[in-house]
Amino acid sequence: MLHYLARRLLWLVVTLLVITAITFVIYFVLPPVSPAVLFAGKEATPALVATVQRELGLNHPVWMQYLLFLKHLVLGDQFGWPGLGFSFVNHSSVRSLIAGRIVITLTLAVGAAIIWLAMGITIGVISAVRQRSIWDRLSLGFAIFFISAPVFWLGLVLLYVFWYKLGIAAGTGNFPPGQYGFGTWLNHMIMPWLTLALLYAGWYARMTRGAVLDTLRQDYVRTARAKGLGEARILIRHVLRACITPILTMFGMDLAALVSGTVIVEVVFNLNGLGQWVVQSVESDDIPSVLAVTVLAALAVMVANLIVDILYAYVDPRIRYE
Amino acid sequence: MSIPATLETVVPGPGGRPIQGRTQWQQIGRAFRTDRPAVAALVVVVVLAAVAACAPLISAAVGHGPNQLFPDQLSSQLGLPTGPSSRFLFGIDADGRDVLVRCAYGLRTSLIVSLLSAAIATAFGVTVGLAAGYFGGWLDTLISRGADIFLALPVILFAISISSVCSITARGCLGGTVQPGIGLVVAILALFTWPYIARLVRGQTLALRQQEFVNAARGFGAPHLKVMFAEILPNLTAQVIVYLTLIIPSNILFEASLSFLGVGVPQTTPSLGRMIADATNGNLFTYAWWMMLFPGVLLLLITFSFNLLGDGVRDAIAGGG
Repeated sequence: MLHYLARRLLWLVVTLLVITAITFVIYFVLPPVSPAVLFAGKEATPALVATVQRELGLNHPVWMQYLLFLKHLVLGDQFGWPGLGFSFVNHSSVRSLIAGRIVITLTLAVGAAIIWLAMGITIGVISAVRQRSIWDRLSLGFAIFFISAPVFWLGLVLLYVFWYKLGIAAGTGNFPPGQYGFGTWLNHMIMPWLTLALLYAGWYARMTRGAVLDTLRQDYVRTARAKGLGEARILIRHVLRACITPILTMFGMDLAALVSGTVIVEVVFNLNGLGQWVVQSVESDDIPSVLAVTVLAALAVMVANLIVDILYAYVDPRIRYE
Repeated sequence: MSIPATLETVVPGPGGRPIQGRTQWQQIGRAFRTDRPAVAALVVVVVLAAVAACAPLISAAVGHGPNQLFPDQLSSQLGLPTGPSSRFLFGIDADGRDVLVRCAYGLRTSLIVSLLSAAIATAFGVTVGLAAGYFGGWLDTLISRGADIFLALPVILFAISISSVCSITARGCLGGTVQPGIGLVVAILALFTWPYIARLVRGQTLALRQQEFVNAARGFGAPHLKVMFAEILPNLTAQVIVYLTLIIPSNILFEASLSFLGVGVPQTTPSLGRMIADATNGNLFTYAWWMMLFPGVLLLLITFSFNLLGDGVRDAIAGGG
């Protein structure tokens, strides 16, 4: 297990180096203007550009600039750890701007993940157990429909129907529970959660269905039946346990895609998390903020993937001894 | 040992009717034709592709250009868009443009971007995947790990980053090689989809490399490139096609998402995603439902059909191939 962990950690470090290198190339090498002009924002004075130039170390060779970029990221800069720079558009450190928004994004992502796992696994198990029934067919249609639906459009349709026409759901916007009460906050989170969850639930339903069908054919399931165990017990103790591995694998792969979904849902439902902010930052040419969110999101996906891998080794002993 | 009959040999069967060998593709075609939803999906895809190809004709038929403004059609008091009418079947948008014509052009953008990026990603992914699987060693490690990293990246943020950085000036990036516009969106999509194909092809090549026909080809002195592309690749075509039917709809959705966020194709190019974004301006969609409904349904229809088609192709290949 320790050996496995060490290998995973080493791989994490390598990946992070590559990802930071890619980001560095995008922001420091690709642009046709000096990164200092890029970072200083729209209304930059020559003095400000000169300051940014010095701060980013642009007078050094490119490899030095990259090391400086890494150093700030890992060891922090004058605004604390992690060093994500200064937003000249917002006149404040990117770190402080992110701190206020990260909770909203995490709440959205985690809440949606819980809903889609619950929905996907339930529907998948039902359609596997009742194979070729009307439920099975419906769930297949449901899966392909939501896989195909553009998430931003789905959100708007939900808003149009449930908020504007029927008036049973709350509209857009973020209402922190501390300020507006738990009920109001929850009311405004239900539709964003659902929109994001529906996007993935279909995939999980189909995958769970396949995994359950495969497992139901295994010898040990027949043995369990022969021992006289009840169907419910067989399903929960014997079949579902075996299906955790593929579901977990898929979950790990979806984490990167989840970032895209979160960005769009935040924009549609006007939730002022990191996703909406990054889109606004693009509009206002606030490049340091876009850079910081990109690096942070890549980091978050990597760390979450590591956690999934550790869980993976925990539920499937074969991985540990590989 | 007698020489085995080839597929083309006609053998008389019971009742005097000849039993004819079928190729893999004939079998796949037969299996596919019995799958009604998939055939229907194929018809829808073809019709929508025709609509997209005929966008200029539609524009000429109704006499409205995709970016032509009809400010006199906006409601006189508030300047709000007006809904479907006999002159504007899908209504007009907030700027007074014909939604129908823009939908047809938007569909064209979706298909061009998704097909082009899928083609580039396939060409690159297949080559790289074949090389990794065939040669193995450090090349395989490099390519596989590289693909892993690309797959773990939050694509949308990198896409936003690249298009925002490259759109800052009209000169684009890398001394003008990467220009903001459709080309940039295609490049970004291809950049983030090749690893899927490379991984698939690598895995299959790894298995095929051990087969006798590959050894035989090598034994006859075929060069590596010929073995890779003439011997191994034809065995992978079916799987790559299945993957393509999944990648195309996901690329359509991705282009729409980028355009929805305002970092996709440029303003002057009609895009279904951007049309939906226009509808959200000041919650306009609550009034002008046609601005949101038609582009959205079109997007859903094309991706849904591609996904259904992909399902059918996958089943046909699994069953018939």
